[in-house]
Amino acid sequence: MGLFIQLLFNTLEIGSVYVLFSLGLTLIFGTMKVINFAHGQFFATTALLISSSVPMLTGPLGWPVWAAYIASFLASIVLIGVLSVGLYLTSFYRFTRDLLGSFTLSLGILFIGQGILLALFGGAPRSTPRLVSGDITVLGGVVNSQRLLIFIVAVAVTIGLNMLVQRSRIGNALRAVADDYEAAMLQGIRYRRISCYGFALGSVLAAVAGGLIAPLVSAAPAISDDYLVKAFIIVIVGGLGSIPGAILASFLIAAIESFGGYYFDLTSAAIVSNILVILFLLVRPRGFMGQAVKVV
Amino acid sequence: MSTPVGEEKEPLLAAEGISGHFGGLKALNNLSFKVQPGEVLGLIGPNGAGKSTTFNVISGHTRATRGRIYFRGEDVTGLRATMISRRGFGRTFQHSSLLRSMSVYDNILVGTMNGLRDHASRHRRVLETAELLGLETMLDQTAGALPHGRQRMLSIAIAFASRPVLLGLDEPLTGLNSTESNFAIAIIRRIQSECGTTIILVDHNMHSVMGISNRIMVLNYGELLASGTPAEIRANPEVIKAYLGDGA
Amino acid sequence: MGKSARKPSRTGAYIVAGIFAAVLIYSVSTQNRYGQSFVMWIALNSLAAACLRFVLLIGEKNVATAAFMGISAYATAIVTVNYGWPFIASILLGSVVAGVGSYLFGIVSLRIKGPYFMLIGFSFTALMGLIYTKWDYVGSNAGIVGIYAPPYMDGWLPALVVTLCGAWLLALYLCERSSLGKLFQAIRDNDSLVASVGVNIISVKILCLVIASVAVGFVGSLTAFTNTIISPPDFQFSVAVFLLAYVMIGGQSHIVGSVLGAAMLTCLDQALQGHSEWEQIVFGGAIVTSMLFAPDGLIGLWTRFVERLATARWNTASSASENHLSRGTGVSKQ
Repeated sequence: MGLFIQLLFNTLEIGSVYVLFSLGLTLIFGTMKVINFAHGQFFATTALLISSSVPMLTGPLGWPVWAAYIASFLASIVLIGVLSVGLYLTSFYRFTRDLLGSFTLSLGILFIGQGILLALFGGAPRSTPRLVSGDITVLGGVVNSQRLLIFIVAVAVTIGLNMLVQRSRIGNALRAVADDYEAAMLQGIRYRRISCYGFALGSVLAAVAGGLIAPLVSAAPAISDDYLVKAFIIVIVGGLGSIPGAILASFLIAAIESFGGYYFDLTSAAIVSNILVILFLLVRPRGFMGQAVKVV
Repeated sequence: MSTPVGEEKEPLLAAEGISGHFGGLKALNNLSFKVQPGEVLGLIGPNGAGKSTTFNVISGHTRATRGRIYFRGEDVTGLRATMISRRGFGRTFQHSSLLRSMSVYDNILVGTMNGLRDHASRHRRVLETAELLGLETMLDQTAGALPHGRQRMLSIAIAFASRPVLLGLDEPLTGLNSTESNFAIAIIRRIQSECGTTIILVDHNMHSVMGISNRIMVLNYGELLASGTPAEIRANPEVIKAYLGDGA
Repeated sequence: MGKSARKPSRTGAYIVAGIFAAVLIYSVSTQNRYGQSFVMWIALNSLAAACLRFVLLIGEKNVATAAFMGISAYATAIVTVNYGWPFIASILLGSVVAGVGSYLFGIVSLRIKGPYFMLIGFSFTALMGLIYTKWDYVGSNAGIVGIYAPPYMDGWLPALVVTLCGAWLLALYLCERSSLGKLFQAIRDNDSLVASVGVNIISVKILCLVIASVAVGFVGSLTAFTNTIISPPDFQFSVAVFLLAYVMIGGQSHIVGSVLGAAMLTCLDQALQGHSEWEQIVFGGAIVTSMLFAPDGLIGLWTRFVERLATARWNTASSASENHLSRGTGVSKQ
């Protein structure tokens, strides 16, 4: 039983990061029907920025870890927010609802981003000191405190996002645009502005995920790839544009990795995830909770 | 050999007891009718009467909950549209009946793909069909760039390219001005007389439909209200009431 | 003038034939190992990109192109290294296996369209990669080594590669212009209309996929011989992504676009070798610039240039005739 609890906690830990990462992607895909292959870049950039600025702030300037961390976290978020808005207005806007075009464009941006990150930070992985250290034992399972923090933050962010989407004006506008953008425009919703917000919001979520994971993983420009692949799987299985779907699917994939990784190995777990995706796409392309999809 | 007077020929298409709900307010109730070979059958009725739904059911684009459909003596109930089309039922659609990015020639060519095998006979068929529909001078033009009236003729050309035994026209006259309407009506007559094609016609323009049809069917609230020659229908009090309402 | 009615230009055909002949002569005559490899890479990349584009004709983005390339490469490698099959037979086997694989794949997944089909291809490619890494028979992570062409091919391999790729490109082009090709485009334009005239849509889509996959099977098999080593990372999803970039930058409206895009980006890639950050930035920059300023690719730029030239000529001609008229009648423009 202890093992089961442990694996369950692992699932929740892994799943929380996936949730943050894929929420942004599903938001962007859902509202603008744009595939941003470079989504992972925001994730990696934040992780790298934090991992390089925290040592600088705590070392020579003598800041306490938590202050350095929070400061660089916030600075990165703002940077990513501005960057994503700029990116959107200059390029992605032209390719809304154009799958092939946005995909190719984002590919180019991915390369540029990776190149810049490589040039600025080098290929070697960096680590960041943890915010909270030590492990806590809960219900017979061991939970790493940092990961628990991630879980809590992920839950908070998800609840916050859900409230934003369901209750606020911007949220309503986003949902309207996702549903039927022409009708939304007729209602007076400024499509360009709203989709810009959606893009920025989604990208910031990826940045948050990157910031949270920085203390746990060695940050390097290459980390974006792994997560990106999984994020696409999660977004499809959960249903394009569906927030509850993304959450469900994140934990499902995390469970497969956690349990499958323990009883078999990671590669087998990945195989199972991929087969799952293929089956989903064949049988229920809309995913758990996406909108109905036209099939031949 | 002529058919003895009073005896009906084998119907080309027979629908028996078609019923069902088709989403929203659309419903058909125990609809039965026959289509005789060589005739032009007009299907009319007030808005929401179920004309398009009936059309979609017999062409296989919608499935009815109950009832049977026979085409050329074969039970085709429940068959998909592609299968029914292969058996000789070609039809147009109200919307998006064209390949907008391709030329007029290629549009009609696609219509011939199913029936004809070799390049030469397809080419000949495209030219013949284009000439019949008045499109022979614009074969190179992109379908999407044609004026609306020509586009309508093109969609008929595509449906007719395979020389189906039964041709279904879904609102062929909608959006046409009077010159174009007369042209379309002349073509429909020509298709019937020169090629012996049986034609089912759904349209709102009662006057034109009465003018070309041999027989008319009137639908109301998903049921068959009346059936007969145009003259009979014009005089039918039930029909008048359905269209004009009580107290007319 | 309707696009699909534009007749292929004679001059265009001559230019293409000329370039092909030049490349072929080069591949036979050069002793430079690097030059030989370079020519082969461009030929193989061009054909692979054209195969991806071929499925684009029915409107589907076939990410699984990379997977079928891999299946063919592995099949060829196994029968050559483990069973000593003759050269030509092993290449043909690769294509057959790719074709059969794509047929099975198509039956199951071509019912699905658009982004979902694209993602099935994506997952399928990832799946195949994972299977290769776990399967010892195919060398798992290390892959298969020692895939050598027979000695009688020495010096002739580049020429063979160029010829086969050229032949397949021509075949794909002719197919695209045939009635079948028009059927593909019709399906992309309005598949429900095509279905309603009695065509079995799924069968036609599967046919398109199989043709493209048999062709890309050749790419896979030849890649095995030109590289002599294959391993799972060679056929990852990123390969399909590069091919897509070649198609988009070259221009998806014409098969020559795939060749141009492949040639240009392969050259760019080689020129930037060794400066990995700049390589990525410039490569990415090329893609972004192309998408923002020339969404129809190089072919689109060329077409627009030609059209502008034609309009300019027409304008000059008409204004010249106006002057002529006014002078002739003695009426002067005020």
